[in-house]
Amino acid sequence: MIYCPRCGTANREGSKFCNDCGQKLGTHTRIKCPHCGIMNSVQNVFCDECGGRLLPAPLDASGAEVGPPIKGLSLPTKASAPEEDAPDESEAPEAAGDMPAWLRALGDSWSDEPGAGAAREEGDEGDEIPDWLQDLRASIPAEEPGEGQGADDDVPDWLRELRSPAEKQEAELLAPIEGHNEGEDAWLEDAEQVEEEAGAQGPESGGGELPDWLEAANASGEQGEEGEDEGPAFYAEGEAEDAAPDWIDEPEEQREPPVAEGEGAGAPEWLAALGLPEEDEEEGMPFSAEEEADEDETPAGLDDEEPEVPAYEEEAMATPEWLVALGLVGAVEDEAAASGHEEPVEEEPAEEETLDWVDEEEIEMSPEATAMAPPPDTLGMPEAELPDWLEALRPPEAEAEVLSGEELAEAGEVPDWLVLSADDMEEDEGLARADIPGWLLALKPLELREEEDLEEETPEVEEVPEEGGLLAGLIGTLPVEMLIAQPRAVTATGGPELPSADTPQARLFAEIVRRPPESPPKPMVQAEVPLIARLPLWIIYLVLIAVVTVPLLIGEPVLVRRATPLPAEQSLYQGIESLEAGSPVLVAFDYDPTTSGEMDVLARSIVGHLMDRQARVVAVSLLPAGPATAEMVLDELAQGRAGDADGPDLLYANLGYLPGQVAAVRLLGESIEQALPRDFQATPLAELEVAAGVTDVQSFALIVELAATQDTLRWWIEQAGTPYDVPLSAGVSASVEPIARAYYETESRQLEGLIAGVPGAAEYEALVSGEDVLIGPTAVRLDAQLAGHLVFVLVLVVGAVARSTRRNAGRGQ
Amino acid sequence: MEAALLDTAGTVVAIVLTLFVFSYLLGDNVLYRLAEHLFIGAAVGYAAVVAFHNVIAPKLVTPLVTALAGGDWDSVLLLGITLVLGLLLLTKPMKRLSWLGSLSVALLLGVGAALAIGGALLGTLIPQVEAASDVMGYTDRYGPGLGLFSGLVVLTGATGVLLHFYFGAGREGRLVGLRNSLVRVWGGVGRWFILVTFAAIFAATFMSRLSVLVGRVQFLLDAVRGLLGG
Repeated sequence: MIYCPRCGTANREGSKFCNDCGQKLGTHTRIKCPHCGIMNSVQNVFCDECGGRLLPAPLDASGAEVGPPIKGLSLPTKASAPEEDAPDESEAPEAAGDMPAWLRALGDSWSDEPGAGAAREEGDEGDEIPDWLQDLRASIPAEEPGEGQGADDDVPDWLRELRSPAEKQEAELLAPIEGHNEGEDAWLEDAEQVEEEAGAQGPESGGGELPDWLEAANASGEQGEEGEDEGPAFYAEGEAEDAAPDWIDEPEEQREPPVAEGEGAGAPEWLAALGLPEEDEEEGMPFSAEEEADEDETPAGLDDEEPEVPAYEEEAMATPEWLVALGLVGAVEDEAAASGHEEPVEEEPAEEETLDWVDEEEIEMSPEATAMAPPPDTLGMPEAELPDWLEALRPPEAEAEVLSGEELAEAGEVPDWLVLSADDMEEDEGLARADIPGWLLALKPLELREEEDLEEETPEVEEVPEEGGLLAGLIGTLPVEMLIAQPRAVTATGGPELPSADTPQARLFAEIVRRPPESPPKPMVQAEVPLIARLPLWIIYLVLIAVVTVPLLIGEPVLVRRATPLPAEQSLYQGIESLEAGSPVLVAFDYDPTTSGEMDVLARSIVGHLMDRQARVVAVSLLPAGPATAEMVLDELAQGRAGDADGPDLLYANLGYLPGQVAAVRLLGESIEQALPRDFQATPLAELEVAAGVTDVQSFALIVELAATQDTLRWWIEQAGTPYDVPLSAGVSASVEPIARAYYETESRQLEGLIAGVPGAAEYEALVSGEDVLIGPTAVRLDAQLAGHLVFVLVLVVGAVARSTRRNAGRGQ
Repeated sequence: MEAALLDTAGTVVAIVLTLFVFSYLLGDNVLYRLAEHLFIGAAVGYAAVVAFHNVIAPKLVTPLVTALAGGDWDSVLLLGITLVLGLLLLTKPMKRLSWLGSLSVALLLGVGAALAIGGALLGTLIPQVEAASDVMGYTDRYGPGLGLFSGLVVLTGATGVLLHFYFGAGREGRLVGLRNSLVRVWGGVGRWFILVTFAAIFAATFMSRLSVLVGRVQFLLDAVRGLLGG
């Protein structure tokens, strides 16, 4: 239900406009309490937290606020003007009687006893609550029953939970009546029995003077004692005492008889206690303002809105419509008039104050309702003894002329909500369909629902039907649990629109994400290539090896090349030449056997020159295999050098492997003792004559980096040469030359000298030897290398021509 | 005598393994696989031995023993922390305990990254920017004509390569057309510089590998000559 914020009318779920006043209904899913700020369900009229009113109270004709709309089991849920179409509690039996067949069928089918359904109609107290409803309430923890709430035991707790504060307020006013009904179901008693009781009891007897259901309106005094009497039946199905849930009861303290001392003597006792207006209105002062103010709690919202209104007037304004219809308003008005209030309440005739439709005989009654209602002549009460307003409450006679609901509505005697069109009337049931509460409609099995119901339902939370047990097939049996325990449904928000250019990529990404994990890659199966197809490749390999081998077999340079050393090579040469004898030089052998075929030539050229200059060579390596390679080169070069007679240790020291890469180079700049405490042969650094006086990088006159990769070259430049301003030269592989030359070309000369590859080594050897032409083994290797280059160039040219010829041939065909 | 035999045996093994590797020219085969596995195993084993004898023994074991014997507890504490951090690295292969080694890895990566970034900034980036922008600096090395030409080529190539990687640009403004034309033309020149550079690196790499091949053939010839007594 969605309550109209303007008039309080209960509208169906999904309604966009109020069915009564046309007010646009918001699509809010929660209502924020204006008092405490707690978010409440849209079905709440009062706050769950503080009890404050969430919706403005509807106003009556005088502008005063009236009670909140009736909710829950109280049908109808529509709040209307009290004087015109105020609903009466007598509608309850009719509403109950309008229980659809499927609901009754549910109760019958789910009851343990086959005749439970019939027993309920007969008013059997033991079966007032069907078992299937009792099962439902088991899911909700029961409250401690208070004293004087005899009916609480018969009402499911879950139903008690569902009542709203508005209903509670109404229940407080109904409590005296309810208390009087305990144990009675007079409406379902046999007509004869009622007649006999009426005959046996005198007119003075309160219980026999009026039907019990009217006696139930006797609010005070007799609540407990007269409970055994025949009580009124507010429910057509005979659930007189227990069909009314305990939320209709009022708290014990509010059951104090609101009888004023000035009760009229001539009025019947029950009537005096009820406070209903007698024929002489001046005598009817059933409620005093003070007592009423003490007994009934005014809603907080009313207190907040009109704090200046006197208590008695506030009570009158808060009186619900049904109470007004019963005539209590008249009593209040009289009381107000008697107290001399300046704003006399507009008095209405008794007929107007009561429900006129009850007085009308033309109301169409269903056969069931007619059968359940006692015949008017069996009440055994003289017409003259009843006041007019009470006369109006008399059930319609069976032979009354039937008028359609539309006619009654047009006459203004029946509220609109009560009028059912002919389409809504089901002939087989004979009852007008009532506005079933949403929670009750949710219990309807899916297979019995109509399409209309399914379309109109827009549940906020997906309700899962019960899978087993007696409640199998029902949905929403635990609505509270669903709302609390289940996570809030996340509504998909439309994300930013992807550009059209990105859509294929996004689609591809989603496709990749959805793919199952790929299995390990299968090993590639090489296609069997026929031997004839491999033959050209083998021929190329053989030619290459042969061409490379021939110059080496010759042993002498075939080509005569003039030495044209580059500036970088000259710089390196001059730098070494400028070294004093015995200067410590750090040589980093950063290559291993995989590249030794090229790097050894460079190492021999540079280190040999250093040894010729009698420099103290201290070798290190950033590679684990580097020291062994360095040892071979150093030992080879030391043979036959000047200091060989005194031992090779005087020429070089191999400090071995320097672990840590970039950090190791940096550490070497701080302290060699920490970085390399022992040499490659495990000799302590302090015992090495070549390394005497060497403490850090700055102790060296020159650093020579023999780099097969660019990484080690950058480490030495960035961590040693540049930061410590130590002269640094390099002999690098030909593949590193493009990178290394950039450091040589800088203004600060990060590399003082540079030679690259075998050609650079050959040029450097020519510089060292002072020859104008390249000679020696390195020049032989240059011939071999040149021959290899020629082979590759030839292969490239032949391959390109062959491909071009084949392509042209293909085009020609 | 024994050393000569060992040298001869080592030379023979080296020749055989070199030929096994060359057999790959005929296709993947068992001989090549055998040589490959032997090389990897020998390299790892040799690295482990070098690491122990060159690092663990002289830098950890010996100082720790010495410090414990001498009661140098400061050194013991420092070396102990180093030992613990090193041992924690051994937990990385274990799934449940691999997190213990994260501290050591973090230390290694943190120190390495800090040194690398600082060194690259001061040792490479700034000097290279200065060198590229100093057009007249080349005249001192290569003469007025060649030096100026070299400087202009370097400047044009460096800026052209940077413009070639200029992907993001606003589409509004007064000089949008000029900028787009500049990026298109100059960036195109930079693209050619990139191509030439890659070609030079590839040629240099080829020359380097060919040098390795020549060196290996030279070894084979020398070894055979040595075995034959030539």
